Amino acid sequence: MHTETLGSIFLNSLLINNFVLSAFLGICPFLGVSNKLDTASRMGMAVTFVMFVSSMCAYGVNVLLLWIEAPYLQLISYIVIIASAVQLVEMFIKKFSPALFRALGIFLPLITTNCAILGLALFQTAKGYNFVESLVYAIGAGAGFTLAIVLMAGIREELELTSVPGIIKGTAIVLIIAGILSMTFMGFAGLA
Amino acid sequence: MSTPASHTAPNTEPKTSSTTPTNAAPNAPANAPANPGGSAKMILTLGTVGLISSILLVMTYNWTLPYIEANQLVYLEASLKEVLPEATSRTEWRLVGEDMVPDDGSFTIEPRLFAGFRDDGSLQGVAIEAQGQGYADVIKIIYAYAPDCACIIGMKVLESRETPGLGDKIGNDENFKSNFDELDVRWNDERNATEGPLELIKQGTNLSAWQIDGISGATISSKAITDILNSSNEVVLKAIHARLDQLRAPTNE
Amino acid sequence: MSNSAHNTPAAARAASTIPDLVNEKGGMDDFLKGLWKENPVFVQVLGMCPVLAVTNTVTNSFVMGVATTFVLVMSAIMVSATRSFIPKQVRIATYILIIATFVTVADYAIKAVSLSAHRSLGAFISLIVVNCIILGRAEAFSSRNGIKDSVMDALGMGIGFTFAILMLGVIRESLGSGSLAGIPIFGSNYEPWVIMVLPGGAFFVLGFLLLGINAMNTRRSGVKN
Repeated sequence: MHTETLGSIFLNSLLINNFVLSAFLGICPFLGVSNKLDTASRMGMAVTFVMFVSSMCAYGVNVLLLWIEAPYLQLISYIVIIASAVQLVEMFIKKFSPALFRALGIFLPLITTNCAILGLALFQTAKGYNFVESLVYAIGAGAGFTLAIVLMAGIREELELTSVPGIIKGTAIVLIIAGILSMTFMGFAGLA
Repeated sequence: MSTPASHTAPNTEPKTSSTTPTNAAPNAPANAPANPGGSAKMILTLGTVGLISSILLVMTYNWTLPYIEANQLVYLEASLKEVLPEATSRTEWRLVGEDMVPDDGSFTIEPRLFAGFRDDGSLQGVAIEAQGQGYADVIKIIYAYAPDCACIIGMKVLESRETPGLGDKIGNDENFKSNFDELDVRWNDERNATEGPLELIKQGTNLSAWQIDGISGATISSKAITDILNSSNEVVLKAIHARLDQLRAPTNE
Repeated sequence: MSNSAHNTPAAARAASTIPDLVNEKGGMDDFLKGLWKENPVFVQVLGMCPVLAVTNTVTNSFVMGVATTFVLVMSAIMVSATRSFIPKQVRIATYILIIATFVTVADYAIKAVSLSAHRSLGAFISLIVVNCIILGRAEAFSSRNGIKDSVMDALGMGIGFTFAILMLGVIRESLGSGSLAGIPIFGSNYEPWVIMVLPGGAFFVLGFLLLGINAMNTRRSGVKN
């Protein structure tokens, strides 16, 4: 019996429990690829896309694992299926949409080791979402990741134009900005 | 700083920085090996590692399973003790649709219900699992309903991510918890609906038997608990009263 | 395997940017470098997800540190022991399999020892798999060194990681809840800084710690020059 509606699942994963700013998933790309607005938004799109695909795969794998009663294979299967899915998606895009491949291409292999993707697969299983709920959750989480990384990139582009003291440059200031963003996002709690 | 790779193994190669994709998929060698024996060796290696991994995992799983089950039982019994303190034995049920059926272990996500019995075999109450959207994330609770007084006699928060220091008071504020010592969810004459749904009121205002005294500073979390109880009661209470005779029997036949 | 050209996968590429400090003194130095000079959290800034996510209490930090160290050491042994049999092309896949196996073992072990510890860490135990520190050490160190050196390296990195997240845990729990490992330390009059145990606090504490380390390094190099 789920009391969550699709809308509240979406809002939850997009804003209230934002993957980056509240659940701390996908911090590496958030710190690493957020210095340019353009790359950040493409990274966000790539992550959303991969999340959508691996959410579907993870749902299927979980059904299979429950059927053969092998819950201990969950983690291994998820990580293998995500890595394979990323490879297939990459080959597929390369063949059918070179333009999209040029936009997302170099990010795809990086995403395999992004903990947001594995986290999504694990959370949707832990929360017991059905197929449609899982997909909505994946889209919300992807959009939430994109939102966070684009916001951060916007701030960092502005930061380029100001004089920042030497000792706080680099990761330190990004983390402190992320803290402020995270506090801002707390204001969304209670929305769903 | 020391020089890199001074005692590297003989078979390592200089690092390249090509941007070609990872080879995580077992049979997707983008760079086909020169000799045909290469791919056989790769498959063999991955197969062997996979086999060893699976054996190790099955061993761990079988070895830890009894401990994990014992831990889960301890946790469940501690929660039940809190909401049904007088109960010493129980029967387990599941809520399937709008009906409750004995739990034969074949269910996974259906909410659980536990009928708790006193030493003399009388029914103290039924503990019910319920969940709903809170301020931050889904809140999971267990609460006890006593058919004799048609009231809620205990509530415990099992899982919540409410704001520490504010919203999480729903789990540890004694004043709020005391709301659920005897909370009226009485039925009307037709025995098909509660007299009135539970109602959340401001802290310190005069309290009727079906009103919940909220926590100041955690209004949304208190409201969430009220809503969870109301929506769960709507279904569960009918199911309990429909099967009351069966429930009073201390064993599932 | 022949020395045919191979692809450096993305994850390994991230790992190979770590200065490859293999030294002749072996053993002890491999162990010590992880503690401070190459501390995975403060210096290499790797594995940020668990560092931020589970440091709201000292207990969580400790369990996470021990679990990560266990996975690091066990996978270092396996990777190092099998390094001459594994074909280059599938090594990352093999490492991931090995790591995922030990993470699952750690997951079940924690569940068996304490369900409440497992509940409060949740999915973050499973997420050790994608902690870049582990794959990074497997690729950059264990795959090209003997078992003993690899274990020392893994232990050093693991303890360095544990030290770092314990430091965050102590700061966040003492300020945010006025307690350490659940035991109140400031008395009942203390009004906790709730922000410290909230997500925002995690970013702030780590940000200011890095700032402090930067400042310290700047001052030290200033004295030297």
